[in-house]
Amino acid sequence: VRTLKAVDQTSEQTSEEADRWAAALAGSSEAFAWLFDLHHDRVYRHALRMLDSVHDAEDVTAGAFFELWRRRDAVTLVAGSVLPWLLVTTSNLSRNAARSLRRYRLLLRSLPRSEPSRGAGEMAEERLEASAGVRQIREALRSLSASDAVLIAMTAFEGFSPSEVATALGISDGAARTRLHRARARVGSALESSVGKFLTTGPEQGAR
Amino acid sequence: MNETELDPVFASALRDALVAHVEGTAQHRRRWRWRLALGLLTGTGVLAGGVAVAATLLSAPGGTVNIPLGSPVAVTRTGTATVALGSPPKGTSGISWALTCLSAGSFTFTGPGGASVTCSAGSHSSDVQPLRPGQTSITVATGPSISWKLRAEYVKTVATPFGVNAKGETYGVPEDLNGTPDLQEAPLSAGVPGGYLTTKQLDCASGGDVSNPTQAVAWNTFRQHTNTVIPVYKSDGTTVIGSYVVGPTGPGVQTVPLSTIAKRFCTSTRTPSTTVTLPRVVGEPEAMAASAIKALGLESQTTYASSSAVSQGDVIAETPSPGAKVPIGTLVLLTVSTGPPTGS
Repeated sequence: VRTLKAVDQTSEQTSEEADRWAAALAGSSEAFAWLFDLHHDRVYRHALRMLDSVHDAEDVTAGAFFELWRRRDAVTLVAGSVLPWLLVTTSNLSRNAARSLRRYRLLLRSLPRSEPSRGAGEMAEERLEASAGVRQIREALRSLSASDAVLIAMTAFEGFSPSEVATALGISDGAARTRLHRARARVGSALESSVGKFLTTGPEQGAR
Repeated sequence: MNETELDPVFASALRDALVAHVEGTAQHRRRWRWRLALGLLTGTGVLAGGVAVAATLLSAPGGTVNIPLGSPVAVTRTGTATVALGSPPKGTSGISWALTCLSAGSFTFTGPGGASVTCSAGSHSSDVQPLRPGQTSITVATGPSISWKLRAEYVKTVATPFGVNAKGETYGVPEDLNGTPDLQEAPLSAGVPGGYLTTKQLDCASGGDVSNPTQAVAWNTFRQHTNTVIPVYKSDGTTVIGSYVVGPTGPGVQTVPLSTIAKRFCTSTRTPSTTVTLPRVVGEPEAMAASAIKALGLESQTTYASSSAVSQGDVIAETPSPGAKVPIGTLVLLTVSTGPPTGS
C-alpha cells in the first residue's frame, strides 16, 4: 500500500545524486543547489510533521541544508542518497528548533516569505488539520524517541525500506524491524489510520 | 492548493543563500583553521594567565566559551554503553564531548538535549550538552557492532564579555547569555572576517518593528523584490570595511536605501534617542493630552484658565510650543479651559 517513491528512484538517478554530492564536496555550489532542488519538499514535509507552524518548518528545512553543508565530512549516503541523512537531521533539529537554529538566526530572518508567516502558519495548520489527522501524527511522532520517529516517518511516509533506514541510523536490519514493530505498537492504530488518510490526501500529491 | 510544498519565494531565496554560503565557506574553512591554529599557539604562551584568557583568543567577544573542570575521561567502546564521569565539580553547567566514529553509523546521546550523530568511520563530532540534575554519566546508544571513541569532560559555559569601543558601543557575538550588543559580528557571507554590523541598522533592514499582520503583509511584499545594503564596520563602529546585503539578490531585485525602509517599517527604532518632538495637543481634552505627553516620556502639569474660544476641559495652550524637540522627562505645561469667563 505504501508509495515507494524513494525506492522507485532508478539506480541511475541515485548514482547521479552520488556524483552530484561528490561534486558538492569538492566545492561546487551548483551541485549543492541541485541536491536542494531534489529534496527540499520532502525535507519540508517531514519538518511539518514534527512542528506546529509553517514558519518553523521552513526554518528547520533551511537549517537541515545548512547542516548538510556544515557537517559534510560526516554525512552518510544511503543507497546513494543524502535524503535519509537530511530527514534524520530534520528530526533532530525539530526537537529543539530554537536552540539548534541559533547559528542561522540572522540568515533565516533575512529570507523573504510569500505570506506573513504567522498568519500563513495558522491557515496552513487549519487546512492540514481539516484534511487529515496531522496533529495526531505529530503527537504520535513526538511521543517516540528521535530515532524511532525517524524510523516510522521514513518507512511510512517517504517509502524507504526498513533496511535502508537501518543504514541511515547505523543500526542492524533486525534491530530496525524490531524497533519499528515496537514503535508502531506504541503509537497504536490511531497512527495507522491517520497515515492512511495522510498518504491519500497529503504529501504524495506534491511529490516530484 | 499545494500546502505540502515549500513556499517558492522562500525556497528560491534559500537556494541563493545556500549557493552563496557554499561558495563563501569552501574557502573560508581553510582560513579559519589557520586562525584557530594561530590562536592555539598564542594561547599556550599565556596559559599562566588563565584559561579564560586563552579562550577569548579563540572566539569573538560575547561568544560562549567552555571552561574545562576536572579531568577528561576517554574510552573506546562497541555498541551502546554508559560512560561514568564521576561527580561533577561545583559550577558545572554541561558536558563537553568529542566522539570519534570507528565504524560508520548513527549515535544518540540519551536524555533531553542529547544529540544524534551520523558519521562515517574515522570522522569526529563534538558538542556540549547541558548537565541534568544528578547526572554523572553519559550514555551513547548505537548499533551492537559499532565501535566508537569518546572523550568527555565537565565544563562550565560562560559568556565572554562584549568589547566596548571608544564610542562606548558594545560589540561581539549575540548570544542568549549576554543579549545583543550594539555592533554584532557580521555573518560569514559578508566576506569580511572581523567585521561588524550595527544592530540598529540590521534590525531595520530585516524588517524593523513589523509587529502586526497588516505590516507583515506589507513587509513581505516589499522584501520579495528589494534588498538593502548596509555597511560593515570595524569594531570602532566608524570605519567602513565592507558591505552586507540584507534580502534577496538576483534579477528583478531592486536595491533600496536603508532610509526608505526606515521611513516605512522602522518607526520606533528611528528615534530611540533622548529627544522627542512635542505633539500638538491644543484643542484636545485634558486627559487625552496628558496621556499623549506621558506616552512620549514627558511630564505634564496642568493649570486652568477661562476661555470663550475653547470648550471647558480642553487644552488652550501648551509650553514649550508644539513641534519643539525636547529631552525626555521635560515638563510640559498645559493650560486647560474652565469655560467662558463668569460674569461677562
